[in-house]
Amino acid sequence: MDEAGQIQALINTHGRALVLFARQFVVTHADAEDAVQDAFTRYWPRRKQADDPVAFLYACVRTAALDLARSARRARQRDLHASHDEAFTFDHAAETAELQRMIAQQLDALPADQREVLIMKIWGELTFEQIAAALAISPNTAASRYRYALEKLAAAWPTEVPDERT
Amino acid sequence: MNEHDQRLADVESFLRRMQPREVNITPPADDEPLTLADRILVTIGSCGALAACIIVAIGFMNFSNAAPSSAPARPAWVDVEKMLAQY
Repeated sequence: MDEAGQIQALINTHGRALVLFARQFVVTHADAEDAVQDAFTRYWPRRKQADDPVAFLYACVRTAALDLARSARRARQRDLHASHDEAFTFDHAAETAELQRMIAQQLDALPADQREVLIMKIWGELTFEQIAAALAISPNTAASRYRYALEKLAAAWPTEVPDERT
Repeated sequence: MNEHDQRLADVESFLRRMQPREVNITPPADDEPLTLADRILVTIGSCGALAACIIVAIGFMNFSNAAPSSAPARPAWVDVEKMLAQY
C-alpha cells in the first residue's frame, strides 16, 4: 500500500473516533475536523519514530485540538456551549435516540480526564496501554478513569438499558 | 458478575453501539517537490540570514576593537580627588 493509501486507511479506521476525541477540546464539529486534519500533518512525518503509531496519533490530535482551542480566533467562540449530542448519529428507534442524547449530555458532564479516556477506549478501541502512552499516564490510571466514567454514566442510566439488538 | 458490574457492562455495550458522526478529513498531501518560486524564496531567505550573521559579526568585532585594550584602573574622578587633596 502506498503512503496515500496508508493515510486513507488510518482515516477510515480512526477518523470518526479521532474527531469525537478532538471534539471535547473545541467548540464545533468542524473545528474538531480541522484539529484532526492538522494532527495528521504533524503525525505523518514522525510516524516511524513512534513506539505505538495509534497512541501517537491520538497524542497529536490532542495537541492540535488544544492548540486550536487556545488560538485567539477560537477564543471568541468559547462561550458557546459545545455539546456532544451532535457528535453522534441517531439513526435508531426514537426512544433509543432519546437515550443516546441523554448519554451524550452526560458525556459532556464528565470530568475531562475521564471523558477523554472513555472516548479513546470505547470509540477509539485503544487498549489501556495505548491510552496511557497517548496521555502520558500509567495504564492503571487510565483504567481507573475509565471505570469512574462508566460508573458516573451508569448512575444516570435508566433502570433498564434498551437493547437495540432485540 | 455482580449486579453493579453487569450494569457497567450494559452501559459499556450501549455506548459501543453509539456511532460517532461521519467525518470529512482530507489526507495530508505527500511531500511535494519544491517549485521554482519556492526555491527562489528559500535562496533569498538563506542569503538574508547569512547577511544578517555577517553584519552582527562585523558589528561585534568593531565593538570589541573600540574597547580600550588597557582600561584605566581607576576612573578619572579619583585623580581629581587626589589633586584636590594636595591643595
